[in-house]
Amino acid sequence: MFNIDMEDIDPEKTYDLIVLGGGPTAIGCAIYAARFALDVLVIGKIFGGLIATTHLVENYPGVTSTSGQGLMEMFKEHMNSLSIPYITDEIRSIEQTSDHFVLHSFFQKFKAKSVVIATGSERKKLGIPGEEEFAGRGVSYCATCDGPFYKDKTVCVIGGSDSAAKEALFLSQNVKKVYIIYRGEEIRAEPINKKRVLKNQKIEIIYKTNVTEIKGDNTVKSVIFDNGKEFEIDGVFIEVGSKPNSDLAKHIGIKTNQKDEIIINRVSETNISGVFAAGDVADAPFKQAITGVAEGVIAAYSAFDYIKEMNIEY
Amino acid sequence: MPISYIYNRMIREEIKKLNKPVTLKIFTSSSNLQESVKMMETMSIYQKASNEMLKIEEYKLETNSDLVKKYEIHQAPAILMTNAKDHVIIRYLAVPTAAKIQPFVQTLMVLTGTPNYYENIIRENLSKINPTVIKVLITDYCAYCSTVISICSQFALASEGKLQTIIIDIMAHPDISEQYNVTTVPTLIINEDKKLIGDITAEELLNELINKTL
Repeated sequence: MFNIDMEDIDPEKTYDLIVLGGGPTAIGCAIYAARFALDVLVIGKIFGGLIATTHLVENYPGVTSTSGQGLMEMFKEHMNSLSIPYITDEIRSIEQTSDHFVLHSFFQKFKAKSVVIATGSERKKLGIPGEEEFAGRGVSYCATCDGPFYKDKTVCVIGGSDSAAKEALFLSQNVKKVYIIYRGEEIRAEPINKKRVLKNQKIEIIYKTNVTEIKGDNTVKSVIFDNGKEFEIDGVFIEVGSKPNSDLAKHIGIKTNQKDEIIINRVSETNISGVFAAGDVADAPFKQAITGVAEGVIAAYSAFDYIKEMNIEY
Repeated sequence: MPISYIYNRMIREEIKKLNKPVTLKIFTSSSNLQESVKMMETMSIYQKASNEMLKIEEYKLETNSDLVKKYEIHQAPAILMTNAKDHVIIRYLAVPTAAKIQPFVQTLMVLTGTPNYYENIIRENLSKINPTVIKVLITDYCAYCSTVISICSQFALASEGKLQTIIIDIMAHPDISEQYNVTTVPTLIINEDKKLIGDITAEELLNELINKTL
């Protein structure tokens, strides 16, 4: 928690806007909301969101190169300069009344005239035998968090996205060898990262291959490929995409698409008046921190407009 | 290695928020000299920037056997946060830099009277919670460790002595990392019995402590 004391948390207080999420989309939204003089509160499960696990951010305009955590520290500094309150918590349900929303976490209740859902996404699991069994014992979803435990060892990254490429590049700084195991014929990384991967002597790509099982004893020892081959490995990093954290939204009747992304219009509105959405949780063809922030800012403007039109006196 | 400029600045920004006095006991050891020096250098930055709110009492392990025994010090350097009865509630086997800065200062503030976000719910469930030691295994670069440190520290502070939280930097304590076979952070060890890994929420931890099935 920051910029807020428990004494300020009043279950009867109605905020102008509550933003749900802890990543750049939510924070960007809150910064603009504060600048619109909205009484805003941010409630996030984890400050920093998914980008905080990225070791290298080079595509946020204005920032040549930083880590994900470094970027979020800049966001936090900006939040602090505007005294925007942030609470670490997770909202489990939202009720709608005639003129406001009631948000419930396990610990507290909050009220707001409007809500922005910027709850991002979480990493997908492979769903293969051994994945859960070896979670924390050789299976990881975060190279920056867990990479240091594999110094001089051999690891694999399952996936072919830009994130998978970046994970492999980060891991290569410490490990003996990284294998990227991808089902396609060519990895889908940004050209700049693809070039780096292909040049990196410690990284080898195994194409047109799926991992069907993870095996080991106390820790991971090998993976099984779909061609039946057993491949010795010390660690498995899974980077096969993400799924939107939209369960809360669906619960209150917000429309989502086939990929469970919240459907928004050009001004970040959902189908429920007063509820907006932005970032990785929403439907967009190309998701980046900067595009999420942009949607979050638009959501803040839409919320500001919505509240002006409400014109309810308390 | 001296603390980086960025962390130095972060410490000075955060500790300014402390507005009531608090004293921390810190145990250092010549057998872990490098970490002990790093600890005292870092805490000196905190102290100097705290507007005299933070006081440090340093004790050398080798010459304070009574206190070592009283507080059950097995590793140093260690920061102890005690309650009114001088029982150790939170123990840091970690230098509070990087991701630990914000939760460390937040903990000092709650220790000195800032209301605790989890106080009510912990108090309501206190009779269902057994005495528990929660070891929080972290690294400096772990994105989610800051949140988990904050949750475990506030839980301990709200628990009237039933919970004790130990924050352990496993890069500084590779023996502990090996003992628990840690390959991911954050990892929580609950009473040496149960391991929880990843971005554990406050609700998940509470349910674990009161033995509910999730």
